[in-house]
Amino acid sequence: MISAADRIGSKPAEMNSAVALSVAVRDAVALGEERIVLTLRFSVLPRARRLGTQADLLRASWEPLNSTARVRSFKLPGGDLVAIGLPHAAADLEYHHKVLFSMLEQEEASSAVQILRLPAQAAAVLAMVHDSLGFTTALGAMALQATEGEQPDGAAIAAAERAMAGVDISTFVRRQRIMWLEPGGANTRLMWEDLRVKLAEICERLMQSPHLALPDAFAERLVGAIDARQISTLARPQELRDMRPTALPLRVESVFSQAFLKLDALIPPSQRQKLLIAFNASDVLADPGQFILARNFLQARGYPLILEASGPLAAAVLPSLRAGFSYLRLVWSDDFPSNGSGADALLRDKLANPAEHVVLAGADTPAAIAWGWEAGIRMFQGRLIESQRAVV
Amino acid sequence: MRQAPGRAALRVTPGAPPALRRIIFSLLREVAQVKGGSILELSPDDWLLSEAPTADAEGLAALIGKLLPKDHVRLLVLPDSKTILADLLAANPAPKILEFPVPDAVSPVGLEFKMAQINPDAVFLRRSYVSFNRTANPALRLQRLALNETSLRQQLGSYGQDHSLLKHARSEVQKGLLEALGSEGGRAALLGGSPAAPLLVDMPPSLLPTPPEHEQEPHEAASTTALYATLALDAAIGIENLGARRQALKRDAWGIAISGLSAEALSLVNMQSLPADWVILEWSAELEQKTSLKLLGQLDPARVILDGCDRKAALLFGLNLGFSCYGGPWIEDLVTAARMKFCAEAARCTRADCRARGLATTPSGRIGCHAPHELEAVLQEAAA
Repeated sequence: MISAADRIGSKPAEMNSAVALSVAVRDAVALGEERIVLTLRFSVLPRARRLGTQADLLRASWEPLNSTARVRSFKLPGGDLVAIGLPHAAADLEYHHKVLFSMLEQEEASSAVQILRLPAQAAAVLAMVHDSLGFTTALGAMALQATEGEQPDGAAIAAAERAMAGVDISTFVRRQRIMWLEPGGANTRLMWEDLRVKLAEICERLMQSPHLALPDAFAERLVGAIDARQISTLARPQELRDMRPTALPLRVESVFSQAFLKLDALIPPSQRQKLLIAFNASDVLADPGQFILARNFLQARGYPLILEASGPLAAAVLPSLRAGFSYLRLVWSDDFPSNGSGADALLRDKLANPAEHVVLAGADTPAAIAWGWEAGIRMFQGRLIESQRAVV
Repeated sequence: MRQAPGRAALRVTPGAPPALRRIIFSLLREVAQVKGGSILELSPDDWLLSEAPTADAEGLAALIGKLLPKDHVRLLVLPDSKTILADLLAANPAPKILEFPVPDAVSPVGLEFKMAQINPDAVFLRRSYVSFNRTANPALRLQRLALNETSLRQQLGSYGQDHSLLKHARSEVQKGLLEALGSEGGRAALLGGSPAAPLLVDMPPSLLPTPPEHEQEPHEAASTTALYATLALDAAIGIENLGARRQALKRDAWGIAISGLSAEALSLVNMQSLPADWVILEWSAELEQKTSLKLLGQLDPARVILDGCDRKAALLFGLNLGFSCYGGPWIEDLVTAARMKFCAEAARCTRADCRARGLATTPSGRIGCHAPHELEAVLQEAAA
C-alpha cells in the first residue's frame, strides 16, 4: 500500500536511499577511491532489538552520523542503516562502531555492526543493498521451484494425447446428483446431475511414467480433448431422446468447437435449458472477451450457466450474477466456518451471489451441509448426498 | 432460387474473431440445412444466407444480433429486396460456398528444444511506469521486467499459435527470469545496474513465495516495498490465501501487482475483493467509450497503473480519473525524451536507439550507449 509520505512524483525515501548508496559504492569502485562504511543491520537482529526502546537506543546512538558533513547516512528498506565516509572520517566511524558494538551481545554485534572498506569490500555492501530490496526472497522462491517434480517433454505429452483417443472415457466420468435439501426435509428434489471427468485419474493412466506431473498448460490441452469427447457422447441419439438435466463443465474455448456447435444444432430448443454449462472462474478471466462471446451465445440459445469457483476469493472477485451466471458452484472446504476463509462474507453479499443460487459441492460430511444451511444454501452435491440415494 | 413471398435472405458481417465466425457460420448452416437456402461468402467479411422462411430468418437475425453489433445483420425480405440481392450476386459472379476447415492441432513434440533456444533475456523488456507532478514532468515510480509477448510468439514459431503451448512457454521463461534475478550477474544484466525504482516482476503463481508454516515471530512489515510479484488476473484468483500471503510477503519488502485488467474484464470483476498493491489496467479505446464510470469507480486510483498508453488521449483519460502511474509506448517515448534532454552524449545517438537501449534487458542490447549511467537511472529526481 502507498504510504502518506509517498506522494506522487517522489520515490519512497528508503528506495532512493538504497539506489543512492549503490551509486555511491559504484562510483567509489569506478574511481578506485577509498571509503569507510559502517553498517547497522536491524534485519539480522533478534526481534527484541529491532523494536521498541532497544531499537530507539540504537538509533539514537546512530543519530550523530546523520548530522555530520563528513559521512553520508542511508536508511535502507527494512530499516538497515549504512554510513559511508572519506578516509579522514575513519576515526569517527570507528568510534560509533565501538559504541554500537558495546550495546549488543558479542554474537549479534559481529553480524549486525560492521566496518567495511571500499573498494575492496564493495561486493559485501552491494549484497546488503540487494538484500534489503528483497532479492534474497527471490532466491528463496527459486529454491522452492527446484523441489518441483520433473516435467514430461513434448513427446511424452503428444504420446499421452494420442493414447487419449483410445481410452474409454466413460470409465473416468463421475456422475453426482445436485439435490435441493431444506433443513426440515421438505421439498427435497433432484435438480440436475453433474457429469465430470476425473482428470487426475486419466493423467495417471495416460502418462507413461507416473511420477511426472503434468504442467497446467498441458493439462488444459487434455481437458479440451476430454470436453470434445463428453460433448459427442451427449450428442448421441439415445442421449438426446431422453435428456436429463445435466451440468457439463467445459473450457470456454470448447463452446466454439465443432463438437459443441454440432450438439447445439441437434438438441431440440425446448431441451436446451436442461443442459447447464459450467465454466471455471480462472478460465473465464483468462480471456474475458472470449467468455463474453460464449456467454452471449449460450444465453441466447437458452443454456443456463454455472460459475465454478476454486474458493471464496475467486467467487468474490467474479460476482456470478453480474457476470451472467445462473448458479455458483463452491467446493466445500473445512476452512469455511472460520472467519479467515471469506466464505461467510461472500454469501453475505446477496446481490452478487444469492445463497439460493449456490451449489455446495464436496458436501461429504454433515458439517458441510449444516454450514450450508446456516449460510442459506439449499443445493448440495457430494458423497453424503450420493449415499442417501435410497432415502431420497 | 425461389424468391417467393414469405421468404427472406440474411446478410451478415461476421467480424474478425475466429470463434465468433465459427458460431455464426454454424447458426446459418443449421437453418440452411433444415429450411433450405445456401450460405455464400461474398467477401471474407460479407456472408449471405440466400433464403429461408421469413420467421426463421427473423429468429436467426435476432439471435445473431445478440452476438454482433446490430448493423452487422440485415434481413432482406423477398421479393421486395430482389433487386438488392440480384445486384449483390451480379457484383460477385462466383461467390464461394462458405466452408470452415478445422484448424490442425499443434503438436507439442520438440517444444523443449525450441524453448532451449530462447534466450530468456531477449523476451523481456525493462519498462518504466511514471507519475506526473504538478509541472507535468514525468517521474519514475516503478520499473517492470515485463514479458515481450510479440517476441516470445515469434521465437516459438508454430508452437506459439497454440494457446496452451504459449502459456506453458510463458510460465517457463518467467521461471528463468526469477532465476536470473536471484543471481548477481543475472540481475545486473537484466537491470543494467542497480534497481532505480521498485521493480515489478512477472511470475507464474507457482513461484510466489509461500509464507513459512510456523511463524517464529509476529510480523514486522518492511517500511517500503522493493519488489512486486506481478500475477495475471486469472492466476491470482486461483490463489485462495492470497490475502494472507500478501501480508507475509510484506515483511520481506515484497508486494503484489495484478496484471491483465482490460475493459472487458472490468465489466465482470469486483476489484475491491482482490488483495493487491497495484492493479495494471490495459488502456484501450473501449475503456473510454464503453466502460461506465461506476465500474472504474471500483478501482482505487492510487493503486492503478494505466498501461498500454499509446497516445495522449490515454493519458488524459487516466489523469482525469486520478490514476497514479502510467506506462506504454507513449510513456517510453517520454522517458526517452527526458533522458536524452538530460544526457550530455545525446547528440551522438538517435531517439530510437536510446529508446531501445533503455528497454533492453541484456548487456548486448545496451551496446552503443555512451552514458550507461544515465540509461540506468532514467528520470531521477533531477528530471522530475
